Amino acid sequence: MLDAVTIEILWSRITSIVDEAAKVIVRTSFSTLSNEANDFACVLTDAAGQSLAQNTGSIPSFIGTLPATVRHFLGEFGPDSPDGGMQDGDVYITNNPWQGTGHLPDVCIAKPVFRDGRLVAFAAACSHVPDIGGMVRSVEPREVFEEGLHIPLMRFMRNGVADATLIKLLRTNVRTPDQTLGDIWALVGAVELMARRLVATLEEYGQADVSALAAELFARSEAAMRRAIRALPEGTYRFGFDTDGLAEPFRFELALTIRDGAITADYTGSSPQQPRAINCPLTYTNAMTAYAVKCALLPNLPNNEGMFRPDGDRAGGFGAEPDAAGRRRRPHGERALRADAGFRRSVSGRTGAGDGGAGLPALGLDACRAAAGTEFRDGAVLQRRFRGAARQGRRQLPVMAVQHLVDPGRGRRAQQPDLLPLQAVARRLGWRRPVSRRARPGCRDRH
Amino acid sequence: MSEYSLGIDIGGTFTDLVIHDHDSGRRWGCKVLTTHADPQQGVVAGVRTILAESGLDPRGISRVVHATTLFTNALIERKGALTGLLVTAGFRDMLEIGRERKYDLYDVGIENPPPLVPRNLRLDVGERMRADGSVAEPLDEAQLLRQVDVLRAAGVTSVALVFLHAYANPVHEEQAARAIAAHAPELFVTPSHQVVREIREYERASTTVASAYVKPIAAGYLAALAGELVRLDISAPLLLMLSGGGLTHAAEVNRNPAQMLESGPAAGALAAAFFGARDGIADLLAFDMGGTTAKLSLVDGGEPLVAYGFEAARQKRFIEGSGLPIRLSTIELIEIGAGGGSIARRDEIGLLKVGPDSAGSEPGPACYGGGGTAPTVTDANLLLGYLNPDFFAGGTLKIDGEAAARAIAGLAGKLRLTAEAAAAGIHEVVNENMAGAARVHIAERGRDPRRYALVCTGGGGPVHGYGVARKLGITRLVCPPSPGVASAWGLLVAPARVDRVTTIGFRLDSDPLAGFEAAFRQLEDEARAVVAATGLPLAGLRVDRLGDGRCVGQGFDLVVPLPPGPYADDAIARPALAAAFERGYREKFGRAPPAVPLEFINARVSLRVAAAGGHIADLTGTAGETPAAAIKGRRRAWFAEAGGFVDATVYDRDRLAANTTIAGPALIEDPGSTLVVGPAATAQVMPSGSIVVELR
Repeated sequence: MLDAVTIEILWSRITSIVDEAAKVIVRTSFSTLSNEANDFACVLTDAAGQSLAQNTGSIPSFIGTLPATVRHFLGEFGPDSPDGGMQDGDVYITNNPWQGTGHLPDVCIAKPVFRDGRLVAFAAACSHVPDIGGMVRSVEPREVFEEGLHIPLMRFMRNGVADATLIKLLRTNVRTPDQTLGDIWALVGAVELMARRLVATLEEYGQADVSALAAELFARSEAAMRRAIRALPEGTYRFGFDTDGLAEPFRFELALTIRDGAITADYTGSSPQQPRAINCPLTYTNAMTAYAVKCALLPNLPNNEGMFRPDGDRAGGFGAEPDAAGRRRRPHGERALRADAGFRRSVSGRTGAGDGGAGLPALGLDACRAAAGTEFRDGAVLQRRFRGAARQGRRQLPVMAVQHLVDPGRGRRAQQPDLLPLQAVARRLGWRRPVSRRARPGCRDRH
Repeated sequence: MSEYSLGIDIGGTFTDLVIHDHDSGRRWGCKVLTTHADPQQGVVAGVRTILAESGLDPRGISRVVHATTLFTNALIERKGALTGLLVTAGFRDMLEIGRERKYDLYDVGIENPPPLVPRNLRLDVGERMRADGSVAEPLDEAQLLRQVDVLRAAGVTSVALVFLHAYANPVHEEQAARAIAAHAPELFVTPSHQVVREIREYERASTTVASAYVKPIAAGYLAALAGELVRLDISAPLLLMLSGGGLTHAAEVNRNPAQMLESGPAAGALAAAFFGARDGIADLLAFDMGGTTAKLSLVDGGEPLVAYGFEAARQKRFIEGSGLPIRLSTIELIEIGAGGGSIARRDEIGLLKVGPDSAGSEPGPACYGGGGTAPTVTDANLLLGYLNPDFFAGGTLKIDGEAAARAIAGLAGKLRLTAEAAAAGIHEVVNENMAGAARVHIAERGRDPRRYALVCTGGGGPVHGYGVARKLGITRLVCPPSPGVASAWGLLVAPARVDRVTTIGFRLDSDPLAGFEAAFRQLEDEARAVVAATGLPLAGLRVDRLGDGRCVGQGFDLVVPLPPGPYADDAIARPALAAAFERGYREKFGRAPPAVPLEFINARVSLRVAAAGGHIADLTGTAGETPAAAIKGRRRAWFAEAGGFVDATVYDRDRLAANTTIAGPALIEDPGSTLVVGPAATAQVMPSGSIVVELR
C-alpha cells in the first residue's frame, strides 16, 4: 500500500506530465480552438482506461470523455481483436461523436503504454481540429453524414508507422489537409511524450505499473466525493425550462436527487432528439454534469475517475438507446439528450468571469451545454440568447438547478416547501444570491 | 583614482546595496529596510551606511545600477496614477473582455483582475486603421479632444492610447499624441506603438495601460533618486535594470517604465549566470528559495533565457492567466509557492500537500516561537537535522524545537505517519513541487535537465538544492558565497541592453525580402540610439536578430534566433531563415515542423554591450586551515537514500579554505543558510568562493 506522501508525489508527477503534454498541443496545433480556447484535453489512464489525471486547463466538457474513448479502443483493439491486439508503437484514432467527444471535429488519439512488454496505461489526447469536412460550422445538418468525415475506431499507427491509406483519405476529405493533419500530429506528439514520461516515472519510483496508485487515488477520491455529497441535505430538486430551439422550442427537465452519498441527475422529460445538429451525445451530458458536481463540491481536487464513479447498481444505466455505442446508422444529427434514471450526477452553470465579476453561474457556452445538456454547435442559439440578455441590460442568465440553489426563489416559489432544502444547500456551499428573478428570459419556470 | 560600481536593489522587505572596486576586486554589501512611502530615503540611508563601512569616496563611483519592485507594487496594490484609456470606437471593453480562458475552471467565485482603468475612464475615439496599415476612417481630432477633456475633468493624469492596428501604421496614435500634447500638456501620454508595436490588441492594451499607469510615479521617483544621489556626491549616471536583464538610462525607463517590472528577479538570474561562469559552468538552473516562494530560471550558454511576455499583479499569485499580460522582454522565470514558510497540510483525500500558503514571517514557522502552530517546511527541515537550532540566521534567532515537533506530530497523526516520515514527506513533497515545475519549464524549451547545474541561492536554496537536483537528475550544485544576498551582484555584471519588436507579417515564400530587412534595420537604428545614450562604450556591441515564426495558420509563434543580416540575396537568405525556424522548432518540439509555408509575424532585435570588466576578488576563508579546523561538530540528518537518519559532519563555511573537499553527508553552515550535502555527494570549495557539490 502506498502512503500519503508517495501517492502525492506520484500523482503530482503524473499531473505534471499531462500538463506538459498540454503545452505541446498549445504550441504545435493549428486550430485556434486548441491554442486560444483550450478546446483539447490530455489524459493518462490506467490499463483499464480509468482516468488518473487530466491536464489542468482542459475544458470541462472533456471530463471523463477521453477515458471512455480509451475503453472503446480497448473493446475494439483489445486482446481479443483478430490482428494481435494492442502493441507497443500503436496509436489509435477516432472522432466518433458517441465514442469520442461529442462531435466530428474533435479528434481523439490514444496510445497504449507498455512497460516490460505489459500494457500498463494509456496516454490519450483530443482536440478540435480546424476542419473535418461537412457543412462548415452549421446547425443545419439533419444527419451525421452531413457534418463531416467520420473516423471510426481506427489504428492510426502500428510500430510507430502511420497508416498511409487513412492519412490519404483524411487529407482528401477535409478543407485544410495540412492544418488538420498538423493538429493530429500535435496530438500524437502529446501522447508520445506522456508515454515516455510515464514509463520514466514508474522506473524512477520502482512501480511496475500504475495500479497501486490508481486503487488508492480512486478510493480516496470517491470517499471524498461521497463525504461532500453527504454534507448536503437529501431530497429531490426539480427544475425545467424551455429554450427557443431552432424550428420550435424545446424543453429541459432535471430532477436532481441527493441521497445516500450519491447524486442522481435525471433528465427524463426533456425534449426528444432534435432534427438538427444541436443534440448532445451522452458522453458530453456526463461531462457537463460531472463538471457541475465538481465545481460545487470538490473544486480543488484534480479530475480523476474516482470522483465520478457511478454507483455500481446504476452504472451505465442511462436508459441508453441502441445506437449509444455508435454501431447503428442514425437518421439525425446527433443523439438527443435522453438520459434516464441512474445518472448519478448533477448539473450547474459556468461562472461568468466578466462584467462585475459577481461570481455567479452565467450563460457561457459551457453553461448552455450544461444546462441544456446540449452542445450549441455553431453558437447561433447561444448568441441569440446572449444578445437578448444584453439588450435587456442583464448581466447573466441563470440556468437550471444551480440557480435554484443560489437564488432559491422569491414570491411564489419561496412558499414552496420543496425549495427550502435548496436554500440550505446554497448556504452550505457559501453561494451568494446572484441576480433578480426578473433576469430570466426564456426560462419559463414550471414549478 | 579607483573606480567603483554601486548596485541598489529595492525589494519588498529589504533594500540591498553592493559596491565593487574595479581595481582591487574588493566588494562590500549591506541591507537596509525598504522605506515604502518614500523609497529613495531607504536608498540614501543604505548608501551612507555602505560608504561609511567601506570608507570609499562617493566621487569614485563611476556608475550606479538600480533595480526596484516599486512599479510592480504599484500595479499589485493599484496605487498608480489615475489613468485614462482612449481606444478605437467600439473597443473600450477589451481590457475587461480579455482572453477567452478562465484561470480557474472550477471556482464558482472566480474574479478576474480588475482592469487598471475603470470603464468610465475608457473612452471611444472615432478612427479606424485596417490590418494592412491603410486608413479606413480618419482620426476625429475634435472628438478626441472632447474625450480628453472628459478624462481631465475626472482627474486623469496619464492617458494610454490604443488604436486598432497601430502596430501596422501608427500615424493615428502619433497624431493623437501630438494633439493631446498641444491641448493638455500636463498629461502623460502613452501610445501603444511606442510600448509594444505588436499585433494583438488585448495584450498591447494591457501592456500600454500598465506602462501609463506607473509612468507618473516613475518620472517623480527617478528624478528624486537622481537628486539624492547628487546630494550624496555621486555624480555617476543612474543606470536601470530592465526585466530583460539589461541596463538602460532613465529617459528610456521614463518612456516605458513597464520595462522595469521584473528588474529584481532579472538581477538574480544574471547573478546566477555570473557565479556559474566563475567556475566554468555555462548551462545552469538558477534556484532561489526564500520564505514564501522559490524562483527558477534557466541559463543557457551563460545567458539567462528571455521570454517575450509575462504577467504582472496576478489575482492568484501562482495561477497562470490570473494577471495582467505584459508583452515585453523579460528574463524567463517561474515562481512556485514553495518556501521555508510554506505550510504542510492534509488535503481532502488524505494526501500530504505543502504550500502555496505560507506562514510568512508573521507568525512564521512554528519553530520561530512567534505563535505559529502550522507545520512548515522550515519546521520539517529542523526536525530532519538540516538546520542548526543554535545557529539560526547566524544565531540571531532563537529556535523552539519543541514547537516544531508538536506541529509536525499533529500533522503526522492525521496522515497516519510517524513524525519522522511526515517531516521527510514535507521535505520531499516541497522538493517535488519545485522539481515538477522545473521539469515542465525545462521540457517546454526542449531541454534536458541533466545537462544543467543547479545554482542555489536564498535561505532555502542550499537546503533543498540536493533533493531537487536528485529529482531532476542534476549531478552538480553550485552554492555561491553569501547565497542570501547573491542576487544583487547581477546589477554589477549586467550588460547594457535594448530589445525592440515590430509586427511585420512576413511570409517567407512570397513577400519581398527587402521589407523584412528594412524592418530590422529600423529596429536596430532605434536600439543603437538608446544604447548610445546610456553613455557606455559601444565597443563590443552585439546585435541579435530574432523572429516570431510559425507555419501559416498556426496560432502560436515561436521566437527563434535568425542569422545576422543583411538579408539581401533571396537564394541565401530565404533558406537560411527557414532553417533557423526549423532548428528552433525541432529544439522545442523534437520534430520537424509540418510542410506548410512559414511566416514571421514579428521582427525583434536585441542589442547588448557587455558590462565593464573587473574581477571580483576571491572570497575564500583563511588560507592554510585544514578542513578539520572548520568542523563545528556532528549532527544527525535524514537522507532517504541512507534509509533515515545518519551522522553528518557540520562545517563553518567561513573557515573552509579553497580546494577543500568534503564527502557527504555534511552540513555546511553560513549565517544565511545551510548547504546540505547528502551521502551520495562530494563538496568542493572552489577558489572562486563558491562550493560545488557533485552528486553521484
